[in-house]
Amino acid sequence: MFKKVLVANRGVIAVRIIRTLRDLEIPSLAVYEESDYGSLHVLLSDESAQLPEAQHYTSEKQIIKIALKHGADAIHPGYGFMAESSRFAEACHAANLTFLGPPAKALAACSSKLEIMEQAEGFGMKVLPHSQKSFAPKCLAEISASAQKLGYPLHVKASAGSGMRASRLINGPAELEAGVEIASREAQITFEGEQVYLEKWLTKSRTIQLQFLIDKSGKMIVLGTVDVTMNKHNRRFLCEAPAPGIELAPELISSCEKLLKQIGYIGLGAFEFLLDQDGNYFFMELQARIQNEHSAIELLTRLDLVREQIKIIAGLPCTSEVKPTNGVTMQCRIYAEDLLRQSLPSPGVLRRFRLPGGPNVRVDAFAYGGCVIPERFDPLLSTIACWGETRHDCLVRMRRALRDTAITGVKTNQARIQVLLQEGDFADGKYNHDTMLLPHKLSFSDKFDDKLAAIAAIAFCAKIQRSGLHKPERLSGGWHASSRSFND
Amino acid sequence: MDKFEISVEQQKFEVEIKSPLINASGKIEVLVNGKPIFVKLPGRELHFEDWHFIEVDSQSFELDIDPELRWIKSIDGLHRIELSKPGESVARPASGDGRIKAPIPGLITKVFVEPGQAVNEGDSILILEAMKMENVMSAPKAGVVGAINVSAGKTVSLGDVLVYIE
Repeated sequence: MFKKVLVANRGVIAVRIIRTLRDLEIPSLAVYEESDYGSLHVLLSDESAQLPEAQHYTSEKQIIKIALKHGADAIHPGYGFMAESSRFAEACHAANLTFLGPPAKALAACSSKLEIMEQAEGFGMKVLPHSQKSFAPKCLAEISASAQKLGYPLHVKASAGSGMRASRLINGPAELEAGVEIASREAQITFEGEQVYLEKWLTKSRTIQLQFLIDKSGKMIVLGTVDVTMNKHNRRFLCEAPAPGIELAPELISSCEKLLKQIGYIGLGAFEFLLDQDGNYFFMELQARIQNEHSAIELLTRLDLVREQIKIIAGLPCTSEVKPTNGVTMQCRIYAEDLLRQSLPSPGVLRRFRLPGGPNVRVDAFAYGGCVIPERFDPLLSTIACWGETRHDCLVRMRRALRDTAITGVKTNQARIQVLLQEGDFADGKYNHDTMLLPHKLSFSDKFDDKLAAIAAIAFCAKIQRSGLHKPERLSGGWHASSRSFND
Repeated sequence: MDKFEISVEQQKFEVEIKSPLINASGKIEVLVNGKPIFVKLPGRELHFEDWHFIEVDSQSFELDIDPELRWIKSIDGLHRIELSKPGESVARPASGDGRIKAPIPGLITKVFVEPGQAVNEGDSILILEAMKMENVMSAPKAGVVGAINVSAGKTVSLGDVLVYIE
């Protein structure tokens, strides 16, 4: 198919892609910035090239240069970074490199959210009320007037954006200015454009993803639906497939197919819809890349979606039929974040990094014990997905998998996921976008409390004793009135 | 032996450590609200940050203890802890002193407050950009904004004090 593929990405998705390339016996070429020296994608690829100082994973020219120098004939962009950049896809094409993503013109069509929404409407899909135009962040008066007209709550979103990045929920006029500022700045960093637009928000709604493959003959295969509602601080962290209790109307699927054909889309991607309480689907976006949640669908369909994507772009036909197995899958994302500090990222060096295994458990990690989690990038450490014959089986398996997981050295969101799997709306299968708005507990059992109190007291003593250890008489383990230092 | 007050998730415990931490049997007797509990440490070192399992009343627990003793992660989630000596106010919650410190290196992109401004707990104070995301830092307690050490465009290092809330 291809003689060598450069993977223009890092972390979890780069490792994922390299694994498929290995399975296809296609040599892989990794690139890395200095802070990713020793990162797993570099260790696992066949060849690697360090990006020169001041060059990044988004340095188009440099990456193309490296590909040509090393004799690669294709580049896989992963997700994020340049995955949805029509300019990069064009540049690859101009350099005679195959871009392993949708064609440049399809990417261009998807890159303006307002335009793709208009196209979706043209094919009969509903969209949420939104501002008719996009705004520069400094036009606050105009934005405010538009917000007033649409009504709150609403989202301010990057006009050239995708996914949850560069978007903020605004509940009322007091939050508008800060929200516009933040969304616009993130838009500038991630999507190279500071323009934003406004879109009405519906409370108690759910976000449903429809993953698909479409080959060069225009034949679309529906891979399945995923409920991707669960998120906190704009980071998704827990999903399930199929999306419970829903069935997409054939007309909606047919509209999706027509839209894809219209813009000349080829390969792998996903539609995202907002589902309201009355069962209406509103087109939100077409994500022109592989999804982080793809492993949930892979467990259900037994397909390797990266492989299918590469085959399609190489001109081979789509896998002829997708036979989803019965059952339910769930996938969670383990992030290096501090749950006690509003999920601020928590870079550092990993100490323990033990991930689960066993039947029907699938792990996609890029980290390993002792590796550095750099501060520059997305804090995703691993995804963990499980399959179960019923939703309950899947839930119990996910609990087992999270119980088996031990990560220290950085703080993670593991506890949040564990509690949601154990009790509450997600465990009961009755969740929506309002579920995560309230604060949640971070532990689910109170039976350890007096034991934990004992442990905490001992740790505290240990800390005090250690700080007084320079005095020889301390070593006998006794106390001295002068061994203070409650403050560090 | 010394006594402490410890809260674990809003529950208060009076704890008294009855044995020396390093002793012949390796077991430490601790009274928790008067009830004796026996703890066996994984080693003779006092580096509690490295204790990844501990035996309490003959049951083994895998855990992760915060070096700053704000939390303990066990198999059922994350437990916040607060320690004090009886009669004293809480020893060291992360934010009790009203200093907002940079928890990670990054770039300040916006400051929402001015010195002298009154704030409530949870009010937005500034935006710290790091790991490609904008992170809003909020007031850890109600008070009045004191000195502001940063402005938009300033790069900060881990631990830098950004704003004082008095």
